[in-house]
Amino acid sequence: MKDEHPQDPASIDAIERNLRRQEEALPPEVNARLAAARRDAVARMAAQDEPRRVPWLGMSGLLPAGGLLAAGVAAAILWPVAQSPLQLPALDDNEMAAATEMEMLDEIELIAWLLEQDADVG
Amino acid sequence: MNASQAAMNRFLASVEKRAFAMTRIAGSNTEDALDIVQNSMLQLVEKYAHKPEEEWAPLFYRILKNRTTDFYRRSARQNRLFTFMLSARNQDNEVVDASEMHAGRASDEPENRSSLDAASQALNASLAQLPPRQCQAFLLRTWEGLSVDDTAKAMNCSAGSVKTHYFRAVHALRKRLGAHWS
Repeated sequence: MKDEHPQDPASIDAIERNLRRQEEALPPEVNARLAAARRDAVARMAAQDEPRRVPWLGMSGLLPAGGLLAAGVAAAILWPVAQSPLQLPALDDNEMAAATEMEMLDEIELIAWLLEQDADVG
Repeated sequence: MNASQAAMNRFLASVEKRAFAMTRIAGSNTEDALDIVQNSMLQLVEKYAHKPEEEWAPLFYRILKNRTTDFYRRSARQNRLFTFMLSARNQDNEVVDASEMHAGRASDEPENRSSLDAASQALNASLAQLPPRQCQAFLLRTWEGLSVDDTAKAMNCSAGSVKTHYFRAVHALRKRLGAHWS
């Protein structure tokens, strides 16, 4: 099907030559981006070829043992906390006196209010 | 880089420029064509790197064709939506041709017009006017140098269909280019 007339630009050979010329005349920035895309693809292939499991977890039995160990440590830390009652800091004498005073003031105010209510009703 | 990675690198280097140029001829602008080629490279590596090396070319071009088709479907949907949203009116509320609002084709880009000579522009325009299957069969056979069987694998059709598409493409190109180049 090839046309042998070199002057006939519609010949397959002429078209092929033209296409190859276009291929070689691509702008440098396009060539650079195509090369970068190719490098990315090959890097992806390299990543696929690498073994996927993490080496130090690869040994069978190591992962369950690690889980048990972590659970044991957590239990050892949390057990004493769960068993002991909540410890509040003790008050010294001054603090205790102040707190008592505050309670008394509250009560005085309450009693005064109650007396007022009685007087209003009476 | 091991042997198979080196082989893949050589293969991709051998096809990347043609793949890009074919995608441009099919109507993509530079950025879209680069994206399509890059996606095709990645898909080949991810899914078919384990296949025998001689199968890579038809597989790669099949992926490229599918990616290009996907791109045009997506673009067509976006263009329809874009046209609908604008209701074919510009900012001055004047009715405009919807085709003026769409992204330009590869041949419309200024750098493309200036870098290609008249013969190349005429050739690319004629190739772009071919039905997609004819254009693909012609470029894969003539430019990429694939056999009829490999072209059939790339196009996902029979060898007979490839021959038919190729024959019609050659016939149409002779008819169109004769006037430009004689």
